[in-house]
Amino acid sequence: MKQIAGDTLFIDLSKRISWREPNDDLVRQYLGARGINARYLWELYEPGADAFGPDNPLIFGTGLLTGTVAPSSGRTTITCLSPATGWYLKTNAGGHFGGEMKYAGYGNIVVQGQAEEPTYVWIDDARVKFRDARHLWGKDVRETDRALKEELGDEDIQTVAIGPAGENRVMFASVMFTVYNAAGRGGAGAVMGSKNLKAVAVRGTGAVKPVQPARFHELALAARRSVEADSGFEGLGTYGTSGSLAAVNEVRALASYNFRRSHVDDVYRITGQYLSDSGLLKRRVACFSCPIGCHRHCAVGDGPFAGSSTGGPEFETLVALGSGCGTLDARAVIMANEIANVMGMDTISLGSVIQWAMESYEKGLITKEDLDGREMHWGDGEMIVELARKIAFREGFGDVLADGVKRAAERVGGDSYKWAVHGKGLEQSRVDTRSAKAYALAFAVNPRGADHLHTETFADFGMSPEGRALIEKITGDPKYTAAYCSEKRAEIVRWHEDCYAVTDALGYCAFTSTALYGVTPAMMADIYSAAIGIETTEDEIMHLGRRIVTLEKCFNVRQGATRADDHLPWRLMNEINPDRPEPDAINSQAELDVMLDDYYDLHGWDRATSWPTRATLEAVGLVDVGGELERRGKLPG
Amino acid sequence: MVTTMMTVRLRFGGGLGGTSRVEVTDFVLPEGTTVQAALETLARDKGDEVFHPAVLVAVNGRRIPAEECAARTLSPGDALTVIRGLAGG
Repeated sequence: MKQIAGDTLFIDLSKRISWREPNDDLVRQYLGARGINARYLWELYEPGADAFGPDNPLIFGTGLLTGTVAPSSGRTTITCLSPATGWYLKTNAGGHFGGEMKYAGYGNIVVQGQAEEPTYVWIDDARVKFRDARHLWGKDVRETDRALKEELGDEDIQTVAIGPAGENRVMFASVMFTVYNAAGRGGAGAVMGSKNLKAVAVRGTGAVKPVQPARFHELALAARRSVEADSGFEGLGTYGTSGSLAAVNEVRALASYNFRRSHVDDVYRITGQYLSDSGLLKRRVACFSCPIGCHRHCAVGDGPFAGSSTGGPEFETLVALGSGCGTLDARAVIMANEIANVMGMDTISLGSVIQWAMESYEKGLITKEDLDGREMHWGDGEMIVELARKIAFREGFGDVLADGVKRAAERVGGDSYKWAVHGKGLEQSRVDTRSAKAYALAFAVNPRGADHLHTETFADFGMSPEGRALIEKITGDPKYTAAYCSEKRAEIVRWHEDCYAVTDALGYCAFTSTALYGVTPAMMADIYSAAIGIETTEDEIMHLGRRIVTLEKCFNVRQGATRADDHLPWRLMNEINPDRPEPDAINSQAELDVMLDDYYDLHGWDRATSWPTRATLEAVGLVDVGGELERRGKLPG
Repeated sequence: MVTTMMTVRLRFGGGLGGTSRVEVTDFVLPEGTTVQAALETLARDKGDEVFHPAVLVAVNGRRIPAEECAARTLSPGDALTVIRGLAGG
């Protein structure tokens, strides 16, 4: 198993030492990547430790299948305590770092401690070196990647790096993989910056071998063909994630003008179709071992944003920095996206704080004086770009916005909390949950905050026959493929939670299993069996997924989470979606409470507290976790 | 017998009919036309791809499942969306 799982590499930046340990047992219990990361965080993080202190481990985990020919299996998860929320954080990226990390012999890398000076870690197969990074501090991500390749004399190294935003502890600083692939949500880049860790460079020359290679390759090929046969395959490759923007707009779920609108006219100008038609799209890009190739590279040749060139923009970026800020100028979005990428910032949170500022300015809570004498209005592309830079360097009002929308609202005061669209302190993904009730429940219970990349319930929109078939399988009736419906949402969310956890842990991209549906849980169970040589059924692998989900929940329970933390942003719970003025176009507390009761019941979690019961923890194989929660008074009575 | 006509707003495209845009046009139909009948009329002009299972059909922003299209009646001024649904986000 070692040759597919890899070892865990421990790095202590304070002591400048490293060592490796096998993780075969963890693979059997937690599959890989996100699952193993969750276990390490549970064991290594001591409650109360500062997110920016030496005792918040920063854990990288690449999928069990990463490095193989399994389709779209090159994802890597980062896990730590989020400085933005104070809760559990897992954030995940594609690119090519994960494959290289596995070829170097590692499934997981646990970074502990804090370096005294800016440092980068150079992993050259089994050799691990701590290198001075003072000359890299202040450089952007693109410059850092280039400098490392020149310094190490190898164009084939893969890097993860932070930009100035991570160095400046911007609360939504991302860790950038292969330059343009972001582990963006929740501020892992700021944690990396607090450790004085500028980058990790890796080169691997080893092999990744499943225990049953012939069977494995047959299953990988079948999985690839199944992904390619999905009705969404061609569209996702052709138009990227932003190809779905027009459809989301049509069903009144496009979060625009800071969630004051859910539909905009002429949305075409920020769609993937437009990027392609207009020539802004320069090339399509695929992550490791991916047949889909949904990633983009765009460049602007004319106008005020000429010269901009970047990976992206994705759906979320075009909404967060486009219609969310009141602009349909794709060129402005591309330039803001480039700044976010090279400075190392999450585009969802970046767009969210800018649109919150626009609304605060409109309502008189922010003035020209706050903005160095500049006026601010919706759709001002140049202001969006300028603020993005200021936030990365914490200049002027950018310093307030760099702390995220929750803290910014606390500082500015007044009613500004009402349009600070976050859950648990994380800026909400750009889906209007008033028009998507499974998303609403998933966002409310997500341990990292209001976000779609823990439990994507895209099937709920009913935009593909595969998605509709899945909803029928989960609920027993295709009529529940209805985004506005609040019935059976708990069942839909829980299935997606389990499936998403397995997907992340194996290193698959979520687009193979919860946007396209080519890779099913049964297929994941089969290929996991062939990978490690232990037969595992669909039910068993979904059970392992639930163990991961439950452990992540327990981390938050240990941090003090209760039912009251499973909520949605004020605006969405108190204001009707104006583009769909119907009684169900709101996330009311009453509606959420019903969904939460169903959800906790399904999980075997206590309704009053939301805490997992002892029986549930025993059933999912987390007896020791239950013991610790009991000692802390966190088991329901 | 005189057939009374009505006008609905057709929102069509997003990858269907060779157009990336969502084109908005008036669509004149007999009063009482169902979504299914409207799609059949549209198919005569645009082709059978309007019945592809990955097409999003919605009225006033609310998706209409295929099995409900025959029973759902359109009203004057309704917005009928027929676009290609795509995955990803």
